[in-house]
Amino acid sequence: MIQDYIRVKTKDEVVGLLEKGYTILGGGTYLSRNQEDVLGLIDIQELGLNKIIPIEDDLVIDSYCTFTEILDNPNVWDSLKDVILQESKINSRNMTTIAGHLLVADGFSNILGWLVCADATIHYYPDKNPYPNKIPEINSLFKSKETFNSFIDSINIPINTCIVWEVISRTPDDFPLVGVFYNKKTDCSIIALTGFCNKVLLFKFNDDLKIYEDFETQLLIAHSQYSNRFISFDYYLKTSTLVLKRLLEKGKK
Amino acid sequence: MKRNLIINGLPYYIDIEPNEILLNTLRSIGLVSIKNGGCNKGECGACTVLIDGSPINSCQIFTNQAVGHDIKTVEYMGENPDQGWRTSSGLGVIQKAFVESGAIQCGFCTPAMVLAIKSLLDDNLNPTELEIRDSLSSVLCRCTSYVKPVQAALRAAAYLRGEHVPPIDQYLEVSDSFGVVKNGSDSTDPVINNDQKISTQVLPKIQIDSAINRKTSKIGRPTEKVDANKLVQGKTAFVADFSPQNALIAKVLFSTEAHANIIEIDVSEAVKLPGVECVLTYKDIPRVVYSTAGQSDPIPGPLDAFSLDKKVRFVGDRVAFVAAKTEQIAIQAIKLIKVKYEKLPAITNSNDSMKSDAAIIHDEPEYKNFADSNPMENLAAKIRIDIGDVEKGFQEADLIFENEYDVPKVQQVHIEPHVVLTYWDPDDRLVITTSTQVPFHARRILAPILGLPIKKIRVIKPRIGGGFGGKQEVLIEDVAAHLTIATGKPVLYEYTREEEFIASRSRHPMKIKLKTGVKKDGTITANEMYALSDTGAYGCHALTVTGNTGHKAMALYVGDGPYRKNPNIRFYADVVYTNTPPAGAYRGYGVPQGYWPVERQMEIIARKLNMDPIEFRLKNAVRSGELHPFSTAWSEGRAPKPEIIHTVGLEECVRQGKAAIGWDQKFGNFDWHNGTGKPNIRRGIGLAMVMQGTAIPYLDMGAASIKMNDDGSFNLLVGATDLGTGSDTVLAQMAAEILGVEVNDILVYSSDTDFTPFDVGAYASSTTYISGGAVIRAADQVADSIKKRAARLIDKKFGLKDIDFNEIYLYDRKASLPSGEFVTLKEVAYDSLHHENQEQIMAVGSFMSPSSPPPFAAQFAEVEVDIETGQTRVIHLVMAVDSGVIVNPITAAGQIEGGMGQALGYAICEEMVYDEYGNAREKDLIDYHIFRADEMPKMETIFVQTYEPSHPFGLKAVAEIPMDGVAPAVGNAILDACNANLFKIPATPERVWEALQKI
Repeated sequence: MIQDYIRVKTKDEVVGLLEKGYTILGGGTYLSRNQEDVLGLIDIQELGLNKIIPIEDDLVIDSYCTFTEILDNPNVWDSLKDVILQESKINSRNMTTIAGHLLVADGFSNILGWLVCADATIHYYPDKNPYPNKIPEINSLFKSKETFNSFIDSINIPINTCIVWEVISRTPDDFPLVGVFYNKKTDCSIIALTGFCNKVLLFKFNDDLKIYEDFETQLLIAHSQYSNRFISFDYYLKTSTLVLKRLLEKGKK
Repeated sequence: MKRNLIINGLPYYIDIEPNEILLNTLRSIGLVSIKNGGCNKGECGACTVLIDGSPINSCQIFTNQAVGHDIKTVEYMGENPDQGWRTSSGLGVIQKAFVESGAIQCGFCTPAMVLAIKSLLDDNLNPTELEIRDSLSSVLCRCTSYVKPVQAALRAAAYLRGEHVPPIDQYLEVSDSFGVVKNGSDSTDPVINNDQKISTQVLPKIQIDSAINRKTSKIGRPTEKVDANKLVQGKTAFVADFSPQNALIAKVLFSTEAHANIIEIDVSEAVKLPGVECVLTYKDIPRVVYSTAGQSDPIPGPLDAFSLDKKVRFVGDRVAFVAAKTEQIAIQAIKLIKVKYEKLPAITNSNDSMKSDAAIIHDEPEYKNFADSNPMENLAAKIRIDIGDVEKGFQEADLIFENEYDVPKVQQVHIEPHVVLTYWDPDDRLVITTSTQVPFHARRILAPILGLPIKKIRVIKPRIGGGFGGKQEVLIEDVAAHLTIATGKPVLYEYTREEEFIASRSRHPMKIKLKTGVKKDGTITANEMYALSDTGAYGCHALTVTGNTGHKAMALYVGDGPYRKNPNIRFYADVVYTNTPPAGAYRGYGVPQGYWPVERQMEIIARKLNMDPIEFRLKNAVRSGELHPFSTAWSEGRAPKPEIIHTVGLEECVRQGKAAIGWDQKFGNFDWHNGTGKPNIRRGIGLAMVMQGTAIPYLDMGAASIKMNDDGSFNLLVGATDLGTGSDTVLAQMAAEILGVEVNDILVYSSDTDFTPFDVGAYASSTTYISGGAVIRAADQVADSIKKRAARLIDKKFGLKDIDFNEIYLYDRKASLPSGEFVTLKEVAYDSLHHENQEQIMAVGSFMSPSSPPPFAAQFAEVEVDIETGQTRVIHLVMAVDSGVIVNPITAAGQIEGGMGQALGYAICEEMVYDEYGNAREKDLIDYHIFRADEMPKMETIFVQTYEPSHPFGLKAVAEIPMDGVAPAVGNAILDACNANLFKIPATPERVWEALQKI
């Protein structure tokens, strides 16, 4: 039961409260007021964690940046802006922070799919901690009831990221039945899939010539995780492969 | 802890709990414009507020987070300009534009929309339509399809730019000259031209029959809704807004089992919880069998429900009621109730219901049959209608077409959930303030359940935040009433969105077989439909909804030549119980289910015969002067009586609709179909023709009373229930027309069982026709009284003798002679109330119709289909409608637009699915997606006016027909695009893809 609310002024204050079992308010991410295991709330709105700055090879997005702030930033990729506009409507965009979304989103979030495909890394405060810094790994971790003594400070995305994506959905704004995100990196191709199960599926392929074959093989291997209640696995398999072909064509262009 | 909040520029120093959300804080201090759509997850946007100028969902933010920020609600934006002696700046510009544009229907989401537009226009006075739609995209509206709210935003922007904005009805002045638009031209004329593509229009196009009397001054005029000012200010209007601070909050424990006996129920822990005032189970209240269907007596369906029972029949059935001091305590108490179930075999597929070894869902001895219902066969209703000789018709056919179709269970999704407030008044009468479409039926049905005589119950219907049939049900009133009886205290009970999905009502899903015989020349010789209809766990509306599937959808195509006079039509249906949430009334009332197969079948046949699909349909469609084929065979379980169809504007609807969508340029045009610039995308165009009904003949009755006031204004009291449709306004227009006053001289009050006359309620597209008929009768009597008194006053004033009061006409708030002498209505009122032969001029009128004149429509759709994935996008919808004379073009167009939007969901994305244990897949507005403002296709409405002779003003119904044709028009457009023949809706990508694989 939530019994306290504290608006913090420093990052160290956050750490102290986390150790007591408090929870950070992500902004716009649903936190039930009846949540029985939440002792207190930490509001970090005054920490100034809403900058978006290119640093070296990365675009560094502070954890408390809202989607609206991301949309307004000229350094942000158009393909990320498109995915935000498709998934998050204006009221949510004004409230939802990127870190908050990371922690509550599931495999039906295209925004999460884009970030996974971008191979984004998580940076914590304090930075020395045992937590993983890749989204697929932290996603389930933060949904556990474990007490943390660090919090997400920023999300770093490589500046040379180039993602093409396509989703199949019932209506333009609807959740993805099939979502395919493709990122051609110098050393490999990254493919992220949404709509498959409760987490974003991530594949990395080194050999583009075998990519379809490998992709199908990987999907068949992942079959046991499939949990989309709205379409069959067969449809997912066939159309995601088809969409991937389109994206590769698009990527070449 | 006490905190400072700045709300609407004013400081509030208030206690805030750490877990308190802003929505609740704002409502608790009286800012009731912030609405609770029940989702509490930011899905519906009804709770939108501005924080530092940006819209956010107040259900998603803790109040503490808003400390130090500027909070704005619609309360700060403006007020009604008439404030007596106090000078007022009136409504804000955006509010004014919403009122003028007809952007308000039920009004529940209006404050949220106004704030969203405010935020946009504060930054950008030249928004594009896309930007406006994006700004509205967080606010779900089930009434308007966002057409008029978008136009209101454009209008407001023009006002704010300082431009001259023409009156809303300016374009209606040219409507007489409206004709077929030249092929290929853009037929959408925006009211305000922003030099950009605008896909919305405020006023529909109207094609007027030359026979229609155009002298009328109020009928046919775009008129602002009589409740618009109140709703746009977010004033106290809806049930929850009236809840006193000390009201107990009710919650219901719902079954987690699809079919089970309750062996044991232990409430001891729940009762002990501090703050819990009452817990009720089936052991505590009388066992009274009833039907939740809000229909006239005798209810045309089985009595098979109890307030609480010792058996549960679906996941979501009621187990126990709790009343507590707060919502949190009530929720906690629910968790403390322990129930031991004896599981029974569950039926979740209607195909299994009538199997010989199927479990019996209703084995209670109190069950009361209606007509052919048979609980031992899980049969809530059985329909067998034969017209002509169907077997002979098939023998005479050259070709027989047989197909099976499937239509889903879908939800009404009114944004205001079901909500009721109950309390004892000082005279120890139970007051039930409820969001209902049927206040009088509710009172009658509730009386025996509660052990009270009807006279001890008063039902008040304030504004309703959408109903669409979902509130033609006595669904939750008994919960709060039982708890008030038990505690003696006021009780508020409100469904959450999840409860709406698991425990409310829905559209009957059906599996339909259709067999059609045709001659090679396209003459239909026989048409036979069998519907297996799933009523869920209870038989509310089972017979009547499913009966309408045949009655309306199978009546349109009678055949040609000799078959026209003697059509061969068969409609059989079995309505079966399953262990799923009950179906019920939903706008269209069984008819959309019927038109999916009928109109898909017509398309398939026309293409097989190589005939033009429009010519084929018109060749076989019913024509004016012909008998409604079902009128001699079926009437909702009552004795049928023949009805002639007097007006059919179908051909003109087709002509106008074809022109608006550019049919002749697109249909069969290879370049158009393929010319999308994307190799995998194909365009297609399709249509459907439909007919509906107008009220239920010899049954629906409405009444109205009109009372004259000192100043020549009138109180119009109606039992009719305006659920956002604008019926109060339309009724006021009718009264104003006859009484010769302005619409704002008519003070409408609806509806309260203590004060307003009886009315069956808002359903069956009856209000304008039936309640309107009652208003006309009352107004005619009042007009006669006025004229008689006016004759004497004119005599006295002008010394004229032997005035025939029949020569006096009422116009411009005067009673005038053709020669020009007049007295004002105020003079008449003063004379009658104060001066001579004092009397209260007032009258009551009732109206019941012996016929149900059908409106007709041609529905067109244009789609783009991805032929590799099956993903379908609807690009354009056009509906040309014959609803007789249109009383208020703005509100009528709003009905068509809103209906098309709901029907689009039926076509494309909405369905409710259950697993083998009866658990719902769709429990929120994410899985159950309804269209948002930024994803709606272009929509156009055209009215083809005919004059229906059975009504004094020549009108027919308008509210339900837009539900009927969108799905088949979309299905036919998909066929046109890519040859994919769909038999099941919604047309999800996978279903279209599967159909593509079969080509």
